[in-house]
Amino acid sequence: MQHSPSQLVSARDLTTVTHDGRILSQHLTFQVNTSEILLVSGPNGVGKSTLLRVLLGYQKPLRGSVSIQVPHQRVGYLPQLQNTDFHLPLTLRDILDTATHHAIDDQEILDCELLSQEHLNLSWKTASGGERKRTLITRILLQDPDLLVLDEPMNHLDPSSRFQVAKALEHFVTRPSKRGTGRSVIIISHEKSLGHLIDSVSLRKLILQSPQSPSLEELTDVE
Amino acid sequence: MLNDLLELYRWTIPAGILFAGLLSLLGTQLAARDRAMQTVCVSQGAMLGVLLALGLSQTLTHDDPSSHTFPTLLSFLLALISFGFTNFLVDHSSGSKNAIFAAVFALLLSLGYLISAVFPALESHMAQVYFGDLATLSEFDSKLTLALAAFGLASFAFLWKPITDQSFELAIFGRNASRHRLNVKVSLFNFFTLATLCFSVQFLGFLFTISCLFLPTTILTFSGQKTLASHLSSSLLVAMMGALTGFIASLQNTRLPTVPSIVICITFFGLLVVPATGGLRSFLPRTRQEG
Repeated sequence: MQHSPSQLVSARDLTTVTHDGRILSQHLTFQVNTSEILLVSGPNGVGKSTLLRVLLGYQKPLRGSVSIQVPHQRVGYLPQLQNTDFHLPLTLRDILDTATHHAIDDQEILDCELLSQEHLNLSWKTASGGERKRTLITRILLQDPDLLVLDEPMNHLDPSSRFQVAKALEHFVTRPSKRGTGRSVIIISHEKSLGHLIDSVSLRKLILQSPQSPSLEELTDVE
Repeated sequence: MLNDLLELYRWTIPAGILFAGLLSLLGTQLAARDRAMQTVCVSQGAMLGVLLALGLSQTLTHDDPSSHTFPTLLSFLLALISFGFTNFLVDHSSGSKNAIFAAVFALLLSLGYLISAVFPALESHMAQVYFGDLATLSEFDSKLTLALAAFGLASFAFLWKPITDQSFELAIFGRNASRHRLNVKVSLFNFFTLATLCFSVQFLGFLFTISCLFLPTTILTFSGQKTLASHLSSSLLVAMMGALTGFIASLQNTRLPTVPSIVICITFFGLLVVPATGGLRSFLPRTRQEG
């Protein structure tokens, strides 16, 4: 079922700043449509994560406006990890099971294409960084969001896992949600080859280099 | 003799057992959110409220000291202030949050001692609020405790999944956690926690509260349990068994204080679970996979 693209996120003349007032990016104008992926990239400290926080409404921009046509509860957000230790013993299945309102079956997890049956009984404490990251992405996918916002999801992933994540994101934007709505992804990544991994959906790249020179390029068009 | 005592405490024993179970489940989540030290601090704030209310009631207004309303309200108010103040300090500091909680705890402890010095009639109450004594609960207090514990346990039974998911998100993502997803739910959990802490400190004592919150879950982290359900059910069982056996031991031997006996029994049952679940392996060097 193919949806006609509609705008999910729109940013106009956006200027973002750090908490101490340092300007990070200026005059950013872009939109994210359904069935497409927006890749935000750039060097460290240029304000990629701040831009995500502004888009999500966690931080106010200095100037400009953001409009998100998706209710907050349908935005799936994967922030950067601050800590990997957790007091309680959890299997990866526990993590996925507690994140949804309904009882999930294994097939639902496997359909997200990031974990296998063998992964589900692994302990969070002993899982590898890549297994943890794929679990966290699956956790959000199971919540059936309309807009997926991912901050550095490719960190700690080997090439094979990066490919798996890229394909899972492609499938996410091409399939409608359970409500029949179209979906899109905003992703922060240093991964230069992401454009090669994502080849069957519209991928646009927002490069933040310095406050004066943001640029937006379209890498792939919808087939 | 024991049968007479069991009859006398027919409401108090199940109340103590169920409340110990409720606290043990709450403790698993607070420990998972790395809020154990803050909880100690907030409980001390609640204790300060109880002491202040009792002192003011007895000295200034000559109200009935057995009335619970004023101490309950003041303990909730001071627990809320302690909670808000410690959160404010943590949010505005780049230093260790546990150091902040320890510093505020020392301040609240000193204030508690000062209050007991200003109102000398409070000395016996201070020991009561610190160490607690389930045996002194009235029948009405026992029934109230039982009802609240049953309500709390039922709430946990329905909500343990979303509460654990909150704890996981807060622990793993910290300040980056999704605010839209968590704000209201975290506020509800915090309110429930504050209300439970205040009630528990006022009626069952500081030592009982902190021990039931953190002893079972802490000991069980050394066990070989791998799933959430096994950890939660073991915490509940260890706390309830400890409360039951500790209470009965103190009834059989009047020289044994109730709450310390319960604490020792909780520790004993917890330590039984550790080797029974292959937990001694956790003391061996572990290898972690990365990458």
